[in-house]
Amino acid sequence: MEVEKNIEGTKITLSPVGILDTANAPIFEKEVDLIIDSAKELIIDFTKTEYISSSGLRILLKAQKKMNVQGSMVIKNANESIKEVFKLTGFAEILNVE
Amino acid sequence: MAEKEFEVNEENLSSFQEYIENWCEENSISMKLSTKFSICVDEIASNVVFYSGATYLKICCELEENMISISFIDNGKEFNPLKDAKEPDITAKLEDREIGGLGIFMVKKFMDSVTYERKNNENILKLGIVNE
Repeated sequence: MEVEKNIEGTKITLSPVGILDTANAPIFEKEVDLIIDSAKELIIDFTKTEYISSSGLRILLKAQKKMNVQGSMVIKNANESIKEVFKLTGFAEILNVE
Repeated sequence: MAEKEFEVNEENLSSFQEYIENWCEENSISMKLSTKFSICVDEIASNVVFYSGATYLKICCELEENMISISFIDNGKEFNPLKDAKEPDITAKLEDREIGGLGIFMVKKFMDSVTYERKNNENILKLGIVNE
């Protein structure tokens, strides 16, 4: 999986391309870990993400916990499938989904 | 019915999904259902790969009238996800959230039926959903 990055100072956007599943989650997690300490505003852009499984949710949860302490995190452009997963798992209530 | 046996290893995680995706495509299953299956395959197969000690995982896909069923058969240690998986608290606050059990929870929510059986030292987990 490829993760596109856009860094404007402390405003950082990460866009995972493809499927955020168990096989790909470690790649996304590594990218999040690399930038998260320098982020005040973290945007996860799912425009190019097809679907997400619980392995991807784990990373979002970890990032959201950290960003609640040091700034903000928002999830953008999630498709219907991803939104359904957020809704089913109650993640829609704890993540900031636009 | 289509059936394929895979060796259980981390490298095969994507192969399980590809197999189901291709089968769905060949049988003109909607993208919406195909995606649900892909997510379920990831949840089930990753449990088998990381925790079961199984050496093989067989995946059987079947389309009968308006019912699609996909079975996962592995020779790992006995594990009934319907009984043994942790029930996640999906209303917990962010700070108290845990990921354990969430995968199986999603499988149960996505599918119309999930059954488990232990037979001949194999775990047999069968998912069913009504075709659209």
